[in-house]
Amino acid sequence: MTKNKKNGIALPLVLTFVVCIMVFAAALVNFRKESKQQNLTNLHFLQANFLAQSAVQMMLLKLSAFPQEACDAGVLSLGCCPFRGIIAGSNLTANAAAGNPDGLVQFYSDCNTTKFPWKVPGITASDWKFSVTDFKVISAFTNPDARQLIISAQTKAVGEATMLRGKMETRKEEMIKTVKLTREN
Amino acid sequence: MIKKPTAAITLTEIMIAVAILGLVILPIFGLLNYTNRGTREQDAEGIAANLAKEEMNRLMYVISRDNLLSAAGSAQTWSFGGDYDVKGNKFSGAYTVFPFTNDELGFVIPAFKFHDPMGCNNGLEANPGSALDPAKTMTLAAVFPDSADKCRLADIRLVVRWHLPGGEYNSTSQFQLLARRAFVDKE
Repeated sequence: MTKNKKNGIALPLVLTFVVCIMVFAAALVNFRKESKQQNLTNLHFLQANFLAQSAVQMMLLKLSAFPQEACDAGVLSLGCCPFRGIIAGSNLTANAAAGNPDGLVQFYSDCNTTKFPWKVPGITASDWKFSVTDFKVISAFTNPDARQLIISAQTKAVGEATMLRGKMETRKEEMIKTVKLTREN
Repeated sequence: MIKKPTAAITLTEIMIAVAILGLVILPIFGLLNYTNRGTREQDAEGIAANLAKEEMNRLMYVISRDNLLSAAGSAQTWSFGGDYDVKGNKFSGAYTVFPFTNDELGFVIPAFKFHDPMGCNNGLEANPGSALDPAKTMTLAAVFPDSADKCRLADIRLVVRWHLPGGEYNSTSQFQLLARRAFVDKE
């Protein structure tokens, strides 16, 4: 008597197929979740990035309104006398170590949503924050012919957006802006 | 006696196999439909984010002060118009501007202790640690008295909503961007 080798082949075939389908379905669901998270990440970045830009805007406004104070604070941060400016040919690198950056810190300290809260009604202030976190002189020189003091300064701003959707929590975006300040002597 | 080789596949076995297949395949069709709709929703959300970015850039850096502030306090339709159509999806956006007055903008500024600069050798500050007085506060209204009524800072809120073809706007398919714009004049 010969035994039948194909006995019960349909069920194993179907079960294998079912397992394959299940794996495919799981991959599909996972892909969808990833794609959704990617979109939320993109959106979250946008929110935080515009907040950082807002901080830069506030700093630019302040610099345009108080250029003299910004220049003087920059000069003092380099260890030079704010009432005399930087003397052409002086060695700034050596002086910077003895400088006082407090004037620059005071200058940027209020460019944020804590000191100037949003005027937009109905928002949670802690979910939409920005602040300028640093302001420093990166180079300074005197142009004796034009009787000008020229300072390049760098401002660093941070935007923080909190999104509860998709468990995104808080995202921080940093932005750096370099500006040139000129003072006529 | 020799048995036929195909005798093992019985009607019962085929029925069980078909039932299992049915149980698995039917939900899979539902899942496919669900992921398809999800992909379209994700696509629409991505487009909405791009449109919002473009619009906010326009509001921050392109549109003039007068145009931006012309209807401050009330919601304005964005530049793409109402029910902007992309791939059959509808997008709608509105921005509201909230200006600051110059009296509200009292900034902290460093104050320097006056001293004879000739006492600072070769321009180097003699006492850097004590060169500062307590910081002062000054409003923009005081800085620019001739144009104190001119707005120099405004908050902007942009709300973007969207829906798929045949759908309706709802509270889920929307988001907002906030930004603050400064108007820097060369005065």
